[in-house]
Parts: sequence; C-alpha cells; structure tokens
Amino acid sequence: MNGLRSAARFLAGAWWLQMKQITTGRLYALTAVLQPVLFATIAFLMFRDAPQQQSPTSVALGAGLLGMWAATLFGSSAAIARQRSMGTLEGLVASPMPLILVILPITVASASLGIYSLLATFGWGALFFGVPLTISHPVLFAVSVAVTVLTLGLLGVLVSAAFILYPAANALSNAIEFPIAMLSGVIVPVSSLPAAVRPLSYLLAPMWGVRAVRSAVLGGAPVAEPLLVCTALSLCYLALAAVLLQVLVNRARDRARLALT
Amino acid sequence: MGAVVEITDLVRDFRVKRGETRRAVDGLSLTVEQGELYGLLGPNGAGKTTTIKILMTVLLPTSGSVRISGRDVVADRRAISREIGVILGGDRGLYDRLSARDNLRYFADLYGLDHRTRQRRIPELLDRVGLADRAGDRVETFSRGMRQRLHIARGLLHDPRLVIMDEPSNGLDPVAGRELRRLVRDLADGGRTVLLTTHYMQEAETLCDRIAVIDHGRKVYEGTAQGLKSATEGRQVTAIETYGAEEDRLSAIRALDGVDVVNLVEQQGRQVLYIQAAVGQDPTAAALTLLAGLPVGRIAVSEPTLEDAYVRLVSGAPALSVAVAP
Repeated sequence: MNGLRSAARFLAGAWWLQMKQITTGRLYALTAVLQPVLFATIAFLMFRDAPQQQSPTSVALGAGLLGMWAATLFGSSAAIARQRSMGTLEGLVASPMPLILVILPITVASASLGIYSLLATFGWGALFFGVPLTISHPVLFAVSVAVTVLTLGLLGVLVSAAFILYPAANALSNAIEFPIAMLSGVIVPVSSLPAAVRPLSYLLAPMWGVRAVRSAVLGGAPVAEPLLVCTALSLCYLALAAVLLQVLVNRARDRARLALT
Repeated sequence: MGAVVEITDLVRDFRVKRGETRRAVDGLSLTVEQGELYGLLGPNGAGKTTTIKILMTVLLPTSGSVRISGRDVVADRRAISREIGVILGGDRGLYDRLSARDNLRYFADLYGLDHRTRQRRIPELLDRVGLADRAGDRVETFSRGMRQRLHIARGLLHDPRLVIMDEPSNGLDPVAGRELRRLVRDLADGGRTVLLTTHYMQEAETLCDRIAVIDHGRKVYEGTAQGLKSATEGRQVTAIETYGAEEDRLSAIRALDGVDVVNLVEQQGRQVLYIQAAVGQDPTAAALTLLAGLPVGRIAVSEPTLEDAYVRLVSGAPALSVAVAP
C-alpha cells in the first residue's frame, strides 16, 4: 500500500514537472498550438462539401482526437530521444524507480497536451465553422477524455520503448501515426474500415477510448462499456510495456545504447 | 573499515562493427575501502568512464565481477542504485527548463524520498552547494560551475554511501574548480566513500588518499600520489619553450642518451617540450642543437611533478620503481 502510494505520488509529481519541461519549449508549444488548428481547418473544409454528410460536431471530434494522438506520438517518440540528448537517460535508468513509472508520466504529459488539441478544435470550429458546442454527457465526456489520455500515454510508452534500443526509431513512429489513427476510428468510424482489419482495431485501447468520447459527446450509444474495455486493454498495455522496457533496457545496457555517444 | 567497491578481473568489450570488438577494460581489479577518496586516472580512452558506467549499473560487464557494498552490480542493480550517488561532469544530465529546486524534487522522487525528507534535504543541499539564492531559477541560466554544483546536490539527495564522480572539474574555471575540490574533500571528511576520475594531476594529488592509473583498460599503478611521484626520484625535467617542433625532431630528442620521456604540450599557440632525464645527464644542449632553426623561449629545469610521473607511466617509458598492486 505504501509502495502504491509513493508510486502514485511519483507519477503525479513527475507528470507535473514533465508538463512544465515540455510546455516551456517554444518550438514545441508553437507546434502544439498550430497543429490542432490546422487539422481542424482541413477537416471542416473537407467535410463541408462532402457528399456523405457527417455532423459538424463529429468532424470536430475526429480532428480533435487526431490532434490528441499526434501530440502523444510526437511527445512519446521524442521522450526517450530528448532524455538521451539531455544526458538524463542514464540517470533515469540508474535510479531505483522501475522504468515504466519513469517513462509513463513523460508520455502522459505529452498526451495531456492533446486535451488542448481537443478543446482548441472545438473552439476553432465554433468560432469559424458554426460547430455547436453541445456535449450530451459532460461528466462522462470528462472521464472518457481522461481515460483516453492515459491510454494514449500507455501506447506512447510502447512506442517509446523502441527508442531505448534504437536511437533513430523515428521512422517507426512516422509509419504508425496514420494507420493507428485510422484503426482507432479517429478519422473515420471503425465500421467503415474493411472487415479484415477490424479485429486489429478492437485490440487498440485508444479505439475504445475514442468510441467512449464520441458517445459522450454525441449521445445515443453506451459510454461505460467502451470505457471498461479501454481500461482493461490499457492494463494489458501497462504489463506489456513494463516487461518490454525491462528487456530492452537490459539489451541497451549490454550494447551501450543509453548514452548519446 | 571494509571494501565498498570490489572490482575483480573486469572486462568490457564494445562491438565496433560486425564480428569486430574493441576492449575498453581489460582485466581490471581494484578495491576502494570505506571512507576512502580514491582517484581513477588515465588518458582519454583508458577505460575510466566505462568502469564508472558499469559501477552506476548502466553498462553490463562482459566478464569479471563488480560488487558495491558486497552486492553484485548485475544481480542487485536496484539495491545498489540506492547506495550510490553519481555525479557526472559536463553541462548535461539536468532538465534545463526546470528550476534547480524542481530538478532536485524530481530526482528526490525518483529515489523514493518521503515528503518530509525531501522538504528538508533540498534546501539543505542547495545551501551546501551555494545555490540557495538561485533555487527558483531555470537551470538553462546557470554557468557550468553552477550546473556542476547542482549535479553534486542531485547526487547527494538520497544520502548515498558511495559517491562516484566522473571528471567533475572538467571545464571549470580555477575558482569553480577550487570550490568543487573543497566540496569533494568535505564529502570524504564526512565519512563518505568517494571514487572519482580526473585528468588533473593536481586534483588527484591534493584530494585522493589513493589513486589508480589505468591505461588501455589495464591498471598500471595503484597506490598514493606520493608513491607515483617517488618513481621519478633521481630524474629532472627540462622544459623548453618553442614553436613548430615536428615529430622527427621529437623522435631525435627521445633518442638522446639519458632521456626517458619527451612530452609535448601545446599552450596558447606555443609548444613546451618537457624532457625527463636522469639527474646529471642534462639533455638541454643536445636538444637545443636538434631544435636549431626554431624559435626558442624560456628554458627551465625542475624536479618532476606528479604529472611528469604520470606521463612517464602512460607514455610507455621504461619502468622505474612504480609498483602495481595485485
């Protein structure tokens, strides 16, 4: 119990300090501010004249969630690379804290910036494209967003694990950005994907998070059920990430890959 | 007393390309006793930093055994991480956009310090390293010396039994270097065991209870700084200031009768030749003949320093009375 409490305290404190570290970078902040607005503008213009009409709120959600995923992936991919270039990675690995607990607040901090992306998209849509600011279940929406942020952070840990062993793993994160967004139902509903790839979608925790967020905003579908599945899958990710990080860090120790040089 | 660090037959290989390895540490053995201030000296690439990284558990040994407080660095990594405080030299290793206080908070949490201890230790350490008045400032505004002091505070947060310092005074100005040496001495006087690597002979001489010199991954000397210096008894050093001396002339000077070592140091656009030779076999006249045509400045003859003894040891000069402990 004591261990759980101190782990929770560490996670909260580390998340806050990582938020400070990330958000005070000018280039990063500029990217984080501009990207959702760009996504939103493109999405609204694309769907405005599309033959198959989607509700403006649904379009805003898709663009906002895409921005959220992009922020997470960008932040997670850079998480290990940043620690390596700052010379902090070796110190983190040498500490007694399990690496999963060290990396998680860094990637969750990136995912948290995605909340801004979601809000900015809605604000931009309301101001310039007439998107109504209505949320069917505000409390469930807040819970769904929080769970989705956590799950995206966990997926981010899995992505960032590759960077421990391969400093130049950016190609991997670039390659998975849009496929994961598609499979998660961020850009188009999962029901419109080919049947053969749908099982992959069901294994992605963010897909269930996205479904919960959509249901909470648009109404007409259960929210609790996808949230539960999202949480269960996230716990599996957590266990997988803990094992994967341990294995990869041991390999990195063997191959001397933790330092910049 | 008792051994805090026990390194036995340590070997570490690095793969340079497929099927080809480079040996950075080659059968190194040494012991550091409780409360000792132990210096690890050696030229660049000698294996000092590799040894330090194995001790701090971020690198696995290829073979051999490394124990800290009786625990194996591979098998008991987590327990060992609480025993050691690592202070790396240089600008990196801190979160630049966070304040000094926030950096310490983060690292205190990493080492599981409870809230009360953290609240007490952070101001105490900031005060000790002279950063109390800059605690809320971002690290990116700090000078190199201030960063180094923050590194020290960070390394001491969890009150480690063993403090490991890798080139702590590298790049510091003389005043900051002196301040750092005072801090290191205080640590040892407080009963902590300190293992440090350094390039600076004066630092090793004034600080360390014992030193080991390693070269090509092997220990070539272990003992006191005074002991290493005494290996040059009966020798003298002639320093000749010149400019433009090429390798051919240096080789010719090296070949002179009675000359043991010739060390060339570039200093602010000029060269200083340090020629070690037996007392009574003054090589000055012969060396000046070999330097004919080059500008020659000051010439001084002195007794060998620790640096001269060290240069002699790592330059492959004939061994005098230098002892290598088993």
